[in-house]
Amino acid sequence: MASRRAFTFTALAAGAAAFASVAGAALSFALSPLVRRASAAGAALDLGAAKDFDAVASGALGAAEVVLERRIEDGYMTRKVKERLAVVKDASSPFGLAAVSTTCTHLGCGVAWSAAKKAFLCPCHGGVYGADGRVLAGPPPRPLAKVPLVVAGGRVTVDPSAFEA
Amino acid sequence: MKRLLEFLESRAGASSLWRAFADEPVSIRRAWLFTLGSAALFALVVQVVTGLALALSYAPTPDHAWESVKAIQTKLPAGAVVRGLHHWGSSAMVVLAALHLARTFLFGAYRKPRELNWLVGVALLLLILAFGFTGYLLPWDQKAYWATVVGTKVPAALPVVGAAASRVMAGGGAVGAATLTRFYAVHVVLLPILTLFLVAVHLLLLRKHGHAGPTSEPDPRQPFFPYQAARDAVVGLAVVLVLFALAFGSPAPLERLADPSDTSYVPRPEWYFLPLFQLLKFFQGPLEPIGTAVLPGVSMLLLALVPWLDRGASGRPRDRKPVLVLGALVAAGILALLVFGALDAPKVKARSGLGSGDVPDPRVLGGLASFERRQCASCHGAEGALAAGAPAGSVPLAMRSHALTGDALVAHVKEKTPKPAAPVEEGGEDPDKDVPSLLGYVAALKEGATFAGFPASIRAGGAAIDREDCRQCHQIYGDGGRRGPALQHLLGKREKAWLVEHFKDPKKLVEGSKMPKYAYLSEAELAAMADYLLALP
Repeated sequence: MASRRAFTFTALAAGAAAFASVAGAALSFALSPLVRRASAAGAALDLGAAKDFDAVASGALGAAEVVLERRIEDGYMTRKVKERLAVVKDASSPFGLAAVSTTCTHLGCGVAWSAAKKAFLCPCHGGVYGADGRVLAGPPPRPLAKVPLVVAGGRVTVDPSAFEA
Repeated sequence: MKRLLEFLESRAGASSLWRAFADEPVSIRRAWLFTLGSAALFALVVQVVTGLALALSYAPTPDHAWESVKAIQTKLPAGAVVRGLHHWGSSAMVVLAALHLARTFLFGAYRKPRELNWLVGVALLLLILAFGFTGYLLPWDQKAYWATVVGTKVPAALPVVGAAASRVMAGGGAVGAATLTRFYAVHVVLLPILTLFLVAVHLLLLRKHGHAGPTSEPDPRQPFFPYQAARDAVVGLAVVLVLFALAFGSPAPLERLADPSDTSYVPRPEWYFLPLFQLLKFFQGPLEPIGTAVLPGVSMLLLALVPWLDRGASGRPRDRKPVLVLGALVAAGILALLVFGALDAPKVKARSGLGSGDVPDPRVLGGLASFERRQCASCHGAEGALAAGAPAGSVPLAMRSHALTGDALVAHVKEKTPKPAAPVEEGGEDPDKDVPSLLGYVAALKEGATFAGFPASIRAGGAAIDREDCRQCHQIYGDGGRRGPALQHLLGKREKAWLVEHFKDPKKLVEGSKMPKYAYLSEAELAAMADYLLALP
């Protein structure tokens, strides 16, 4: 009698486990972003001629915004996206320039340089950053991300890996 | 016919089931207020039908989502109407569900034995909001993209699970192709299944406990069919008519293609998320989860627990004052956040291309070039901020009060310009042909725009496009001739080298092109023009 009872429950448990494994397989799809990370490879991205940024290096201009185009690995496909960077003066850099991301560190909106306020302003929740990317006001938890910048052969380039989230 | 009905009854119990619903005794007093739930159900049916139609023609990929929605909007017969119904239907769902909830709350209809049905209703409200959130990413326009960037980052500030939750929501580290497929699957598969299941449970529980009715005696009743059914039909008709009127009168918006580089865009969520959006501004730094999780979470929990907070013997409003006051306060708070959030939304910038982050209109850049060529800055200063040592009486152009227009301005430019203006080309072109552009530039300065931040090539390219008058045949920012294709969304479609070659000899690349050759322009200028065109949104 006991063995019959045991068989019944074993059968029920096995059936439940079979369905759970189907659910598990589906769940692994849903949770895959926790494991898979986009690769951050690629050639250096050209921002323009070094002389285009003379006004920034001399301090006449607070920040120069540059839109550049790059290919990214996006889920199942690769596609071209436009990204925006700001080139700012940076006395500590050997090139006198630094590149900062224009993605607000609060919730990811795009900040824009305001020449009038001499600051990067976020249109979403009122974050304000200085020309060096420091947080001056509002909710952002961190300064704007620095993107490594190199001036060589009269061209300004950045390392694309700094874009990956 | 009679035999068919008998067959259905004996094999499926169809008639008994119908009678069970049709004969349900429904209260006659306040009968119109009891149509709100049915109104929400009608709106849901509209969403299911129009949603199915939209899914037939929609492609959930970053490459095609926007174009497929645009095709639905512009090419499909009744496409704009179906999309308009679905767009406005989502707002109708929120409004009608909220009214239905408010009515249930006021009447205390959640009280024993209907606690479970109240919980099901609260879950349905959350599902409606989830539909809204996943739905408006799908067109992949600017609003879709930025609202989702913000929405998927919101959980990231939560302790411990935040970063993981954000990644699972977005399908990766950033909003992209994986986000779109995820949101699509949730929007058209997962949420509809859950919703239909819960709606069925909602109706069965209603049937099980009967209609709650008004809060006081007497409570005369009538069968649901045909009396209350007729009222429901009238309300359903009104809902559908209003949705049609909105769909025709105010078509569903489709903004520009999602563009992560466009920092001039001011992201704002759909109106029903404005209270949450507004909360984010009040709690910063380590306190942020209070605004993103604690306050909304506690409010929802309180809402869910209402049947257990209000267990007094009497269901009459005057005996339930504490609960009603609390409910009124929460509702007032949400409405206040909604109003402040709506007031805070900056006015949408006119599509003049004058914004500081947008790529400026070629006319403005042409004006900037002639501003430089005519050395206006020697008096007016760079970007119109008065130069040091400017002659007395010079006017800072960035000042709003400045008002020299029309012929007076042309005369002023001719008189003050230090040397002959534009190099007069062969054929004797008007040397002051650039004055309208100059005016455009000055107008942009008055709007507070600055241009020094733009890469030199984009400035030069825009100026060249203005000088060569490409707009005679091409539309840029919706302005210009229609002989050639509109110059927009070129990025990803054309390579820079192709554009340059095409400028030099259009016929070589596009058979039958009527565009003149621009090979006489310098290589640098042609490259700059390509840069400008590729930067256009």
